[in-house]
Amino acid sequence: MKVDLGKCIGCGLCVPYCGMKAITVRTAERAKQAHIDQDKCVECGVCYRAHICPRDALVMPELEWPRELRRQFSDPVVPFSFSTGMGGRGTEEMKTNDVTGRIPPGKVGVAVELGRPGLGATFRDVEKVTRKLAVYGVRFESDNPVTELMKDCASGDIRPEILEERVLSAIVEFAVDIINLSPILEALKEVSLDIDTVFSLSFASRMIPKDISSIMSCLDAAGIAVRPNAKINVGLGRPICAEHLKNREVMK
Amino acid sequence: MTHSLHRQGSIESLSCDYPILTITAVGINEQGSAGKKKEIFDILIKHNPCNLSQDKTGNVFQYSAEELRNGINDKTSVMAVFTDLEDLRSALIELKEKDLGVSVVVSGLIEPIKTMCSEIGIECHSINLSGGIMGRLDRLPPQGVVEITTMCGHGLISAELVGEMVDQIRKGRRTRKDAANHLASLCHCGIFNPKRAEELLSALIDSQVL
Repeated sequence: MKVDLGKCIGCGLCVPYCGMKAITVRTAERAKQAHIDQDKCVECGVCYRAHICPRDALVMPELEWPRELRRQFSDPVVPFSFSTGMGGRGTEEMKTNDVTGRIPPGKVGVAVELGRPGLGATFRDVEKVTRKLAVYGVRFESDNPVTELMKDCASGDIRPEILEERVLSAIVEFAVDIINLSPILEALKEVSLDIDTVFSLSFASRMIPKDISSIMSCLDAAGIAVRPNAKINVGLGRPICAEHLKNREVMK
Repeated sequence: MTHSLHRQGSIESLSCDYPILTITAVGINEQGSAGKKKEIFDILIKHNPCNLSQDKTGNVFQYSAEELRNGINDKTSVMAVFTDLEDLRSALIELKEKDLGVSVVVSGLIEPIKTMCSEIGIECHSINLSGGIMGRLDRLPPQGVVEITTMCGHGLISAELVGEMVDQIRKGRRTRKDAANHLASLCHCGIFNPKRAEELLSALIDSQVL
């Protein structure tokens, strides 16, 4: 996002709309004007779409690679053109599991959403997580934009030219056998001490009591408290996954 | 809407907060689904949601219901938020009866949702549990602010803006309802709960945290 300095009057109304604290008001040549720190700005478009500027001084420029990644990961209106073609965070996760069968019985889908809530994340921090998980032989979800940005899924290395790009959030996603969950949890706890942001952690499974009980035991043993609220796919999607389970590669 | 399972807050506060997402799977049942999604929109709006949206255009705090409905295509997802479990129940009963084949995901307190689905003959398929937050927790804003910002499906509501709304309410420039509705307008996917936000803003003001 840029500021048209010919229009900006430095009123500061836009400042609190930026979750990344990228907008400040500075005095230059005795005039106050808004300034956007381009390193902090994740191109989410919130300040622009809020229509808070009385002079329409905020400008959404055309973005080039790799900066356009910021917009694709941060602006839910913009689809992931290089990946799934979806908007939002670019992955269906368990939301369509009744149809896709992405997470079958006996497996747990893990999603590590770096940057949420509200701090944002660089791909350098994302790479710390993916490299850590790769050591444990994790197979990253193929229909996921972060996976598409890996130089090497076996090592978890992210493409080097994007490491300094900052986004509102990015989801690292994979599925493992429930019996192999515990070491993954320890790995996540370790890497959480090494990143300069936060991540929100989620665990998806079929609503099979034995699977849920096993997952809860692993989380309890790892000292990870499960919240009382969750997302539940109520199974109304058709065709149901048992009929149309794809034989997909889960790793590039 | 990935983040709806991570909504922070007490059980009491979350007991009036049930976002619902309806979505098709790319490459499987997405093509030709626009008509079904418009039917879903027509169902959800009847059951008193506090927010209603589709992810291509936006939410009812930005556009009219007619504009939202007209903007639905094969790729859009339709969302709503219910504050009353009975309204959610009646919406789910109708969705089940219509059997449109679009996946439905309900977020909220696990036990009430499970019990309700069992009572109305819905066999829940999958669950996504929230394991909370790890990392630089010291960088997070106060809990009362996080309870508001985590209601946005894509992190578009800044902590600073919540503070600004509190300030404007204190100065009499906005009512609590105005402030909550303004925040709701910024959550593009429309799973923000303005009724709950109004209560949370009041709690922030009363607690003097900001």
